[in-house]
Amino acid sequence: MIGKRPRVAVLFAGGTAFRGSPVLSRGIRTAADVQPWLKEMGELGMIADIVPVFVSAGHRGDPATWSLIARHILERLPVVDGAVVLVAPAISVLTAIALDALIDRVGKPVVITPGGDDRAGGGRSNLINAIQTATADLRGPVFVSGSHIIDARTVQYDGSDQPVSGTMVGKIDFGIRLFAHLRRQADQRPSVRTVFEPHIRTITLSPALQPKQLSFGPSDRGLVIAVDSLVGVAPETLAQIATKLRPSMPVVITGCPPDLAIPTGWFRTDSPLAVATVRLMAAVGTKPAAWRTWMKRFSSPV
Amino acid sequence: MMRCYCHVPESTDPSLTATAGRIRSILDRPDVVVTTNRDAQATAAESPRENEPALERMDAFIIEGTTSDAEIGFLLAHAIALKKPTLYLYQRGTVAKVFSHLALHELPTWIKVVSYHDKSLERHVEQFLMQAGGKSIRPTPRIKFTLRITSLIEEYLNQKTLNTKTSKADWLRDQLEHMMDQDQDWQRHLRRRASSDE
Repeated sequence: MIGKRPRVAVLFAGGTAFRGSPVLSRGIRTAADVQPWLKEMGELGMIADIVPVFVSAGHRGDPATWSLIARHILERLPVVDGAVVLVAPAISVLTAIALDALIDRVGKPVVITPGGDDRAGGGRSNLINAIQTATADLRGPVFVSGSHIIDARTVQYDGSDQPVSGTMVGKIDFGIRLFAHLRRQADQRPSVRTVFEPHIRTITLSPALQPKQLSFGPSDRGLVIAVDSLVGVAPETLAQIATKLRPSMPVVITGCPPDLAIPTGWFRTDSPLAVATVRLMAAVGTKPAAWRTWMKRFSSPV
Repeated sequence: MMRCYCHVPESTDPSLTATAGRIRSILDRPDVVVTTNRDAQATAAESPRENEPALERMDAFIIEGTTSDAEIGFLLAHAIALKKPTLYLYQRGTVAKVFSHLALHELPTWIKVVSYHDKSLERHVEQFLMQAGGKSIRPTPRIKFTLRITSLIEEYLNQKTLNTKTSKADWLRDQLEHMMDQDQDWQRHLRRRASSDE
């Protein structure tokens, strides 16, 4: 833990509407809303000096906003002890995945957490836990939800009412309890590893989809194919799709049975479609020729 | 049954160690379930997957805040957000660290900041328990008081407690507490003492 009073950057990118007062209910929509909002959340100042950063009123999970968040983190991290990224619950997991792929050599905690009053994943207590985690002796992107601190690379949320899961690096009960984790290295200078390659196509295979109806152009820099587990897919269908692609085009397939043969060079994953897409965007943006290596790295725990 | 979390920072200061023990003994009663920061560390790894926030299960917090401790700010932040009655104690003659971050008037009413000395610690904790626990919490009688009575008084006490589950001692305590509630001079004295403690 930090010996002196810690400083924590809090990046506001959505999820800022809380019950409790008109100011909190409105949330942070512009930079001018930040200070009145923080005044209503006076308890945050009991933990650390808050360095507020307005990023956006909210976003739906897009590469441009993730890249903007990453740049803000890089700018602030050298002068604070940790950072918290507050976002709407619906895109919190994807944001964690995206930031983990984007930022390299993070020597301090970067805590992504869902905001708002959704009890399943947010609340004022959640934000308090996230800020406290940002002062802990760990490094790298982590995800805080409820009382769990999860390695951001492994966080999963299946879209139902189940809480997020993943590799736990710590637990929050009456304080922070860390398990096996990477310790803080304050002298590391973080960098943005990559930019996202935005031109990634996604398709979901269904009985109505005929491979002959598909066409791909030179602007398509990669493809993610989602297989519906209820429907399945025949190897011939995949082979037909492969004939329509450039030989070197990065292709990720998700949701298919592990014993199903897939065309040579494709990458198989169990991640949901959105997660696989974000990772492929980052992998192709990092190094198109070595995209498989980066996909393996993004999919493996730290 | 009241659940109370008590945080006394780990310290080499013998007075703080003694304070932790004294608070623990006050809380050692059948109507209070107490967890301390030392207990929490010992049981932290037992259920790593459980996601129910432990702090939200507590009804009240007691914090010894004489020294700086990184977790105190965290506990106070939760106490404010969750609206949990909290007693923040600090040794008289020192400055409460909580005032570094929030002025007294900015603290919500459910956070009580009290300076204590050696003789007042138990009283402050018991008063807090009664206020936070409402009628479910009663102070534990700890002072032995020998009183010789006449046979007529004994007969009276027997009659008042016959076929009840109340002991003669409990009945007498109830009568005294009722008199104290009704005694305006006594209530004035309590109010004067409460304001001089703040």
